[in-house]
Amino acid sequence: MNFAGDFDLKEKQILEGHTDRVWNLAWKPASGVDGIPAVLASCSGDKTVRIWEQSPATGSFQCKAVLDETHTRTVRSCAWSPSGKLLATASFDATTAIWEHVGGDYECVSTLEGHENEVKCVSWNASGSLLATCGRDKSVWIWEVLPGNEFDCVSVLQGHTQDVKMVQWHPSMDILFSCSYDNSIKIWAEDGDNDDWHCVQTLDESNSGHTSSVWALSFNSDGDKMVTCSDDLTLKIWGADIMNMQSGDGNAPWLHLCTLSGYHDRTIFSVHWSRDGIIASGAADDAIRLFVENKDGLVDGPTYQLLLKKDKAHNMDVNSVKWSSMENGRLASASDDGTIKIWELVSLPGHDKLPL
Amino acid sequence: MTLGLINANPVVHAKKERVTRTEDLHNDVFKVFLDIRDPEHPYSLEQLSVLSEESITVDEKLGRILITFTPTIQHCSMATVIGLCLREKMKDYVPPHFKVDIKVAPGSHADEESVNKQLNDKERVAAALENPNLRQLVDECLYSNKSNEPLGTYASDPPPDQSLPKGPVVSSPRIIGGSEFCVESFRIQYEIIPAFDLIKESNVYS
Repeated sequence: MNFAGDFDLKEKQILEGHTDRVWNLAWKPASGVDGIPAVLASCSGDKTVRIWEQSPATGSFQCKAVLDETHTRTVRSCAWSPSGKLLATASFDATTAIWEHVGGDYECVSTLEGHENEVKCVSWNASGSLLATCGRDKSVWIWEVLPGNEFDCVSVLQGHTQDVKMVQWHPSMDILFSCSYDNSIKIWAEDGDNDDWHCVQTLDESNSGHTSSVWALSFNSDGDKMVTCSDDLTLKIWGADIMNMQSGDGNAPWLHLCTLSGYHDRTIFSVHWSRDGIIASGAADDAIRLFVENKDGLVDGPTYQLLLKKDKAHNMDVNSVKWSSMENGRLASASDDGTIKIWELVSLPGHDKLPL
Repeated sequence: MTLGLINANPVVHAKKERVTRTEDLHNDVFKVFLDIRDPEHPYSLEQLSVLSEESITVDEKLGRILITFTPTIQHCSMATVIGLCLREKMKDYVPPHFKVDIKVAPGSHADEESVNKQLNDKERVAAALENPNLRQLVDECLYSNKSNEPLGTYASDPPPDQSLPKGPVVSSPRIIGGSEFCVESFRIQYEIIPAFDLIKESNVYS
């Protein structure tokens, strides 16, 4: 996709309701297309999760459900299963709850326990057969999804030396990525098919990695690149030879491709790579920034440029930015100010939506 | 291992005569800190020279505040607790868009980098303040209004929250070494420190 010309991020709506900071967001898969209204889940320091649905008539989002009285502390992260049938929520109360939409209401159908303290993130693999969680106890847990909403822990992965902030499955392969307060990113894969998971690679300072806590990571749509963001004020782009990964022995190393520095002057909490190649970042300076690959002349590999910076996107830190998986150009952001904002990327002049 | 205070004999300074200055954010912020008491002793952080007017740097244009504080000794594991107290107090007094960074004064602590990293990681700070034991200690430092009496003995204190889980806390004062502060110290060492991954300096306790 060629991003020539000027762009702006237009604020479409402010979603209010949470009574404490909003930590994370998740767009429901397969919603916002084919006549199915778009659905967004948000989780907060107020211990609840809210489900927002777009009205087909007015186009605005309304809060359809508040998932409360389950978590007893901050809900830090939420993730929909690939089918959209289940929502997993990770909390500082050391549990992960699984919710199902049953006849108009969301019901907690399972609670995963095991972490010694705060759970910080939860992620489903591409097929929905596995779930991963991570937390301050430095461990990463892998759970198998069984019929009847049963979850079995298949592995507890030790290796990080500090608090693990995020886990994310690769978009097409069962390879797990984690990032941590110990400044490193770890890649975990299964040896054969016998639940023997181990760390196959660590990306840290010794191989051009981050020099402070890594808060988040995101893959491009092809799955051959990922972007990571950190308290060290940089974004880093990593790449792997995907053909090599898919064939036989499975493991191709991830290599540092590019570091984006000088664009952020406070911690970057969130980063998300859209289907059409735009990287969005949310940071502690209340701004949202968008980056795209610089197509003019490859130097020593890809380079990236700032597409736009939205100053004062929120009144306080931006904790999460998520592109809609179904509609190009639609972005949601969550903040310490307790609000969620829906944005539309438009090209200037004129206010036409991006071509699909 | 002695169940003693981490710093049993801090140097206490007289309260400074306050020179009236034109009201500005710097003054407002400093005034807020005047009465925060030390977690271990019935003195304010100002009296123990943990904080002074020079500790606070305000950039109103950028919307940034930097607070540097000096723990009373190099291995003070109370440093993170003091930092948490500062953060919590700031919330009510500083405009929401202001960014606050809290650090120990350079060279004043053996684990300076580690303490600074924890104090400026808002996820870690948020989780720590949700821990009931740590929360209670922070509240006592911030809201106890008789600064010359030992912690936990005020008639005017809010009643302890009965719904909070009670760990292995000594419920009646146990006099060790002639001081009720040792009770607090015991609680701090066994309950609160693990909750925040504070640095445990074994040589401090030997």
